[in-house]
Formats: sequence, structure tokens, C-alpha cells
Amino acid sequence: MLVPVKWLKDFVEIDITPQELADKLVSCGFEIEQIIDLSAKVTNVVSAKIVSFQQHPSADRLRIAILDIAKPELLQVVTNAADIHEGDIVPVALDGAKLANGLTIKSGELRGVPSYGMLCGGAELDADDSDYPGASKDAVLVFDKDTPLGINVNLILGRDEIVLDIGITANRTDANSVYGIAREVAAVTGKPLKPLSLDYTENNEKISDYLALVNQAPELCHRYMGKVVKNIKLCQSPQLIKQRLRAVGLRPINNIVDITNYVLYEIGQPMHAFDIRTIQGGKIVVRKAKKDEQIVCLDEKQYTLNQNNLVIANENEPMAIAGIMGGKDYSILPDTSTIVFESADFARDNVRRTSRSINLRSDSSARFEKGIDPWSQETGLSRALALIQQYGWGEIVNGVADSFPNPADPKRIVFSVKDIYRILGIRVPKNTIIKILNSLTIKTYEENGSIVSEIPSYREDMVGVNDIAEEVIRIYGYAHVKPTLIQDGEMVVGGCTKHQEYTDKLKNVLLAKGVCEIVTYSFVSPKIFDYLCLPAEDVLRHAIILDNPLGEDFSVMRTTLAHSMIKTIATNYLRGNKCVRLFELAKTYLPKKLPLTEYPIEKNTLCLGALGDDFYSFKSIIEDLLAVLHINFEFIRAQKPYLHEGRSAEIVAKDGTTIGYMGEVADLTAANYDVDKRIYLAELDAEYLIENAKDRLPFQVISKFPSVERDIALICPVETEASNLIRIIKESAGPLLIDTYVFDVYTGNQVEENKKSVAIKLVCQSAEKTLKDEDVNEVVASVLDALAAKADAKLR
Amino acid sequence: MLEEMIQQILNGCSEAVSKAQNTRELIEAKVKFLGKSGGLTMLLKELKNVPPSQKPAMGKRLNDVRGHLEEAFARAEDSLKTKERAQRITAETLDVTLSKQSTEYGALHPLSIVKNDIINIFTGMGFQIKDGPEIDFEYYNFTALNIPEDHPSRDSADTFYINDKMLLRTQTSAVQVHVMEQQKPPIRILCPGKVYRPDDDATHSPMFQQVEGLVVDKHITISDLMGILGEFAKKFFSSETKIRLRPSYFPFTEPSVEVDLSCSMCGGKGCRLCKGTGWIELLGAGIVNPAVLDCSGIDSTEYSGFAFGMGVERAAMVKYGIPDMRLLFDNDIRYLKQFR
Repeated sequence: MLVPVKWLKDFVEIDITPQELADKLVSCGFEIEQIIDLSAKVTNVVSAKIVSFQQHPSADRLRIAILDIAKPELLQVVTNAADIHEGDIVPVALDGAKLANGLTIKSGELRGVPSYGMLCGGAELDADDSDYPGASKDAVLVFDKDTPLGINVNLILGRDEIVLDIGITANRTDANSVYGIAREVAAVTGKPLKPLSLDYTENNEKISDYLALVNQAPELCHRYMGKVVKNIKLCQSPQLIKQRLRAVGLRPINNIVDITNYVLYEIGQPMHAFDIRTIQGGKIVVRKAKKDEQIVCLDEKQYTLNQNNLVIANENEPMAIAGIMGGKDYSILPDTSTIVFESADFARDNVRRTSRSINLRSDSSARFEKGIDPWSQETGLSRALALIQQYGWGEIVNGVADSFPNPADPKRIVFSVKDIYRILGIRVPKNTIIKILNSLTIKTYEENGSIVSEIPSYREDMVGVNDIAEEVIRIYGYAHVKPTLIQDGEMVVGGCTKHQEYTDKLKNVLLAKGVCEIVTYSFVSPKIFDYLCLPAEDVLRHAIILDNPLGEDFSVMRTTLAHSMIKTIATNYLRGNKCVRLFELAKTYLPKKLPLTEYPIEKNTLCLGALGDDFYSFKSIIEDLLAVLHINFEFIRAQKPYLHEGRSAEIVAKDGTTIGYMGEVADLTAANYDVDKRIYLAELDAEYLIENAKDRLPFQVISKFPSVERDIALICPVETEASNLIRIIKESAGPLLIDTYVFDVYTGNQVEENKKSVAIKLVCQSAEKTLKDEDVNEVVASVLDALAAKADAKLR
Repeated sequence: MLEEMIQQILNGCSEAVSKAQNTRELIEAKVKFLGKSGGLTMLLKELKNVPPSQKPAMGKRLNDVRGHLEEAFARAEDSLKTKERAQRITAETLDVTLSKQSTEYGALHPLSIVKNDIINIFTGMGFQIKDGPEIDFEYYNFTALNIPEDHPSRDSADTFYINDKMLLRTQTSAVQVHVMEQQKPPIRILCPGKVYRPDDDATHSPMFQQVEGLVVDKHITISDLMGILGEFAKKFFSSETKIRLRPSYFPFTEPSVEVDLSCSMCGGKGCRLCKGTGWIELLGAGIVNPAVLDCSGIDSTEYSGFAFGMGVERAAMVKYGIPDMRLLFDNDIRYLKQFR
């Protein structure tokens, strides 16, 4: 909200700088977005009287103007302006002046004649007729004859003004006006708040002879007031009103429209004026619109309404969309002589819904949406009429057409000093509390040992003692608060959950394996399911769809992290990062049923991806991770639509749960991401990993007897999987075998076709004795027998 | 005759010792003279031919010679070993400035680092970590937090909806209500998590992370809020960091405050980072609105509390001087590796 400081000064004395004022407002809860100096746009332009003209010696269209700027020396300026005369008072930009169009004026020579400035028109000063008569013309601006010389044009144009751009929180609807801010300034600076001037006199006529009022929608129109003003003198507003409206970003139009805007900004009450000739039947009807009822508004657009919209109608047709905009055919015309001023309180959510549904917003609707004081209709109306009478613009008819179906009861909050202490934790003296609240125009006094606050109607936000505490502390100052560490609280045991602990452990393993963490958006494009080559009926395609996404690319909640990972790898690859290992730990969102009516499964998922790795080194990341978490698992050949058919596996825990998959991204999928290198990908159920992770296995004492190693080289069918051989060995070896693993695989000339050679190490050890050759030979023999029988594998 | 042979051996040894280039040659020579079938051993065998009267003297002589030679060989061996080691060291000298490509240590995402820092500080003060759903009912995200039906934050321009009833939570404050429905005071919880709002520019991301804190107990005050958050600021930034409370508004707290940090870059004097104010806005907080407690089944006449919520991205940007929020979601390995 824009608030000119001088306007504030109508209501409260301000003897501090704008910056100090801004700081005070910040301290009591108002953000200052900006301090705008209206005079900063145009600098060093002053009023000057043309003393004489001389013809330029070498240019027909140029004249040399000699100017009086109330300095001992006259000023010489070369100009091509034609429509000015000796004796005119004009604006001249002096050396170094800054103009509204961004130009900086420098002294110089024009065709050999020195010129020490430039004469300005309205455009260079960012002024039009509403700022100064004649300023809209494309010519040098001529000021009134009585304008003093040598004064800054900002003074003449009323631009010597500082405007505060104040951010007002949603609860403080009462502060959305100059008077509302003045109330805060008075409280926070300790100065008295001056009353609004609301007095006017009425003639002897009766309003009932002019106007009847019917409120058919009391639930949507909480109050409607109408006053009649006759013998209206339609004219331009005085400079003061025009300048203030411009300072808050409004365009002055005529005195009547300007007055409604002025009151809107000063008091926060939206108003509207109808020409009484358009009120057919002499009756204002506040009612819901009929289905498909149409109205052309002041913006000259036609709007089609429905029964949820509120209108202000005459006997036959709507004259305005309540609280939003008036109809074009009912507005003030040059020959208007009698008007009806409307000042009303319309239900804010209805104004908001109507405004959204017909896509029309105005200053008035914005104000109603924020919420207005349920008692300010009268104040607003009185203020407008007082101004009309002050300027002699009309005659006010006696009486008011008023509908106020359900006036709310005034609120009282009763509390004690201790209540405030229990919220703030500091003791604010009773007198200080009472003084602060009264300074905020919240009438507060002691009664039967308690403190009573009568809450003004405009403080809708105040309902209980917490609100009182906030009012007290924001004026008293948060700087008075002394920090404490929950001094009266009960001891609690904090700390990380198991979930957090194992999440950290899991991440630490990945870091040690050189994997970097990424964070990507939870929403993806529905196209990703095609990129991943998922079949039409794939369960991953059953994703939760957002109703109002930022765009199609962010429109469904992901059911897999695979896309985000491949995409991130692709982006890195495109930027020349050829070797990356990444992980993401995030949720996938799996609906139990669509459309969504209950919580979906939000499944913590770990996704790993790598570029520039090979299958086995990528696999070792997962193996190490599961080993550190002490989860027993095996890799079982399996297929995924987006993985290489020969290089993909499921990871199955010992309890039979599939905890994820890993493999090489299929070339067809990688091509969808413009990557022609091998990408490795794994997705694991992080929930399972964390739930089943163990700190360590039971401690085991290592045998003091030496272990014996034997290597065996087997010839077996080429398709035999290592895991199968190892399983057979473990099953058949007996208790002396403590470790076994494949250390070499060979296919080629030395081995017959369709066979391969697998070299396996057997490590044997006993807890009771040093093993002899015969002991180990026995183990090897039974292993070889089993391998021959179950895997068609024999010693090479 | 024997003495002559002794002399020959002594001379031979002397020559061999001085000629030996390395320990191998030296040991060969030693074997040749002093070994089982070496020259000196042969002479000892000659001793049986020596007249008995001379035997003791000659025997002693031969033993002395043996002792002398062994000593000479040992000395020579020591000096050769030293020399050989020096040669080996020279030959093995490496360019220690060369490096080998190996697996580099990975990096946590800066948002995780910051989130962990926050979590560690608050768990140290007795807070427990709680999780809640990202897809939630509008009741938990709005209604139960005292956010009225017509509040602008419910607008589709400010909230991602799935349907009339369900949405992507816009604030981790939604977890407050879930927790208070299940847990009775004393409550001291911290709820980190992802939240969503339809904004996308240099200072807003449609997905971002918040950390919500909630304390509910008997007699919780603004002073407690200031104390806890002040300790947090000191630990998270530096022991010099001060905080300032400014009145603000959130429907679920009353009184509500914005918490500002003294600027870490200029120490409060005013700079580009703090836009000349000396303060950086960090988080919103306040005393839990009694209506929220009552709505969650906690008696607001007996208990009170404070709550705060801070943006993890914002904290990371302030802490690391990251100029644009979108860089936090860029995921270029060259950014990520800076956080090792």
C-alpha cells in the first residue's frame, strides 16, 4: 500500500525523517517495501521567466531565450520552442538536471551559441493536464503568471513528497488506509491521532422523496448506505487531491470519481456514485444476479453473471456488480446533477469468487477481498460528503437510505497482567499495557481487578488475550524480550530416529564410494513413462495428477526416480561431465486408488546412477552398501522395460523381499535422453533398507589356527551363473569352508565351445586345530562331487 | 710355509674387500676365504701337520686371523649396504606432485548438509524428528491451522491441488497437527520435509524444503522462542550472530514474528547481502494460536507452545552465498562436488 507522508501528517504529527518513520513501522509489524521520493525522477528543473528573445545568428528556427531564475545573473538558453512569449514563466532544466525520460542536461553550444539549459514540456517532467493545466500539450509548459521564479518544479507540481510502500499483513485489514497507518504511527511515535473531519450539513428535503432501498441479500450485503447529493458541480479536483491520488498511483478523473478514490485510500471504504436519473423506479435493489444477466461495466466490457453474483440494481436491471465495478450506463455524466453515493459492506469471499469467475478486478474489489471495517460505511460516506461540502460541489439531501440487517456486538477482552506475562515471558507494567492499547485506539481500562479492552469494530483480527499480547509487545518492542531456554518446561528426550540414523549411515557409504547426492523435483511429465518405454498397462503409469500444475512437465507425482536420475545424468553428459556417480533419496508416490481419496503410499526410494562406470563396479556400490547395512541379499537376473535385457538384475533380500533392481539402461531408453554412452541405474526400497539395517552382526572371535586356501578351476556350461556355483559349494563344503569367491572367468581358445572356465577360491579354517592337507582335500572332493552332479562342472 | 699362506689369504682378502662393488661380490669373497671349503678353513686342516710344539701358537694365530677377517668383511658389508640403500632410494625417488585418478569422495547435496546441521542443533536441544505426508488433506494444511476458507494462500495460484480435498502440502506446519493428534505435551519436535508452491524464479522454487519446529508445554513464552532460536542462530551461523524479532502475521501463531539474523557478511553494518539493513530475514515463528491447540485436542488453557518454520534453501543460500535458488536444483556434478 502506497502512503504519502504528507497525507499522514493530516492526522498525526511526524517530526522524524522518512527513514526513521519506516524503521518505526517495521518495528511494529509493517514491512517497508520501498521509500519512494517522488521528486527523484526530475531534478534541478526550476521555474524561469522569459525576459527576452533574440534570433539565433545562424539558425532560423532557433531562438536565444534570456531567463530570470531569481539569481543575480540571467541565464541564456537556446530553444526551438515556438509557442512561448516574453514574460512567460516556464520550466528550465539547468546544467546537470535529470529528466523523467532519463536524459541528463548539460551546458553546451548550439550552432555556436552557448546554451546553459533546456526548456521543458510536460512529457520531460512526467506531467499531464491532471498535474498542471496544459502539461499534456507537446510544447513547453507555461506556468501561471504568479508562479515564483527559481523554485524547483517538483514544488509546483506537488512532487515534493515521500511515499512509503508498506506491506500490510493479511490480518491487518484496518491498516489498509492512510488513516489506518496514521493510527499506527500515532501509537508507535507516542503522538496523538487527530480526528477525521466528518461534519457536513443537510438541506430540508427528505431522501425518501428521492430513493428507496431494498436489500434482498443480507447474507452477501452486510450493510448498504446511500446518500443523495443534488446540484452537483462536476469539475476537476483541486491540486491537493489530484497530487495525492497520483502519488498513490491513481489517475484523477473528475471531482466525484476522485472523491470516492480519495476516501477509499484515506479510510479504506470503497464507494460508488450513480446518476440518480439511471435509477429506474427510484429504487435501489441489492440482489443476486439472474442467470445469464448481462452488464457492460465502466471498462466497456460486457459481463455475463450468474445467481451467485451480487448486483446493485434498479427496478429493472443491474447497475453495478456489487463491490467490483459499476455499469457504464449508470455512471456520472457531464450533465449529471443529482447523484447517489453508495457506501456498503459486501461479503468478502463472494466478492472474491465473483471477481475470479468473471475475471474482473478493481481497487474496490481488492479492498473488499482484504476485508473492510463493518462500521466504516458511515465514516466513509461522511468523509466524502464533508469534502463535497468543503469544496462546495453539491447540496446534501437530509437522511440516509440504510440497510444494516445484523450489526455485530462489540467485542470485549478481559485479561490480567499475568496473562500477558504467560505469553511474552516478560513482565510489562500494567500501566504500560493500558497506555499502549489506548494509544492504538483500543479502549482499555481496569475493572474489578482485571483489565478490559473494548475492541474497535475495525480490529476483526483481535479475538483473545494472545492478540492483546501481540499488540502490547509490538508497540512495547521485542527488544525488551529476554531470551530463555524453556525455563518452565518438562525434560524431554530428543534425538534422531532410527530412520534418520540409518539414512545418514546409508548416505555415508555412498559418499565413500564417490557418489554425489542430487535433489530433483517430485513432479514430472507424464511423457517420462514413454521415455522409459513402459508398457501401456504398467503400474508405474498409475500416477497422481496435479489439478493445477506449473506446466505439463511438472504435472504428475513421480512413481519412480529412474527418469529424474537418467535425465540428470544426461544433463551432466551434455555439459561434458563424462564420469558421474549420483544418488537421490526421495519419495515416490504410489496411489492405492485413483482418483485419490486417501493417503497414497509415499515410499522412500534410493536411486543410484552412474556414467563412465562398468556393470561390476557399479554393482559393487550396492554390494558394499548392503554389506554395511548388514542386509543379506542376492542378485537375480530380471528384466525391466528400460534396462538392457542381458545386464539387469533384481536385488532380493534373504527373506524373499525384492528390494530393488539394478542394471544398464537400455540403449533405446538412453537414446530418448540423447545419451550414447552406457548408463547404470539402480532403484532400491530405502524404507526396507532402513527398517532392516543392523548396526553390526554378533561379535565373532577369529580362529587362532591358520586358514588354508585352495584354488579350483572349473569347466562348466557358459550360461552357468557364478551365484549358482557358489551356492552349491557352500551347501556341500561342510563347516570348514569359511569363504569362497570367484576370482576369474575365462572363455576362449583354451576352453571348448559353449563352456567357460571359472576359477574359485576356497578358504578353509577350523576353530579347533591346524588343518592338514587331508582335511582340505576332503572339502575339495565333496565340493567337486556336488558341482559335477548339480552344475555339470568339472575340474579343468 | 703356513705363515706364507696366511699372508696370501690376508692379502687376497684385503684385495677382495677393496674390489667388491656390492654385497653379493663381498659375500662371494667371504665364502671363498672363510667358508666351509674356503682358504682359511683349508689352513686349519693343515694344522694337523704342524709340529705339536707350534700347534697352540699357530692355532691361536689362525683364530686371530679369522677374527680379523670376519671383522673386516662385516665392516665392508655395512658400508656397501649403506651405499646400496642410498642408490636404491635415489632410483626409487618419485615425483610426489603427480597424482593418480581414483574414486573421489562423494558429496552430500547442500540442502542435506544444511538440513542435517539444523537437525543436529535442535536434537541437541531435546527436539525429536517427525515426518509427515507430502500429499495431505486440505484440513491438515489449512483448516486445522486456523487458515480461513477464503484465505488467499488456499488459492490455486498458491497451492498445488490434486482434487477438492487433497493437495501438496504448502508448509511443514501441516505436520504439527498430525503430531498433536497423536502425542500429548510435552512436545518438542522438528519436522523437516519437502513442500510445494506454484512459484518459480531466482528466489522461489515450486518444490522446496522446510523445517518446522513445535514446542508445546506448560507456560511456553516468546522469551523461550527467542532463546531457542537465538541458540540455533549462534550454532548454525556463528557465535557472533544475533537475532531480532519483528511482528508479523501467520494464522496459526499469535503473536507472530519474523526472525531476522544479524548479517554474517557485514556484521550488521549493512551490505549487499542484507540490502543495507544489517539484517537477513530467516524464518517465521510465533506462539501457537490457541485455536490450533484446541483443534488438535490439546487444552489451550493448560498448555501453550511456540512454532517456527524455516526454508532450507534460503538458509543454504545465506550460509553458502548461493545467488540463485535454481542452482540448488541444477545437479551439475561440478556444483555438487563443491560441497564435499
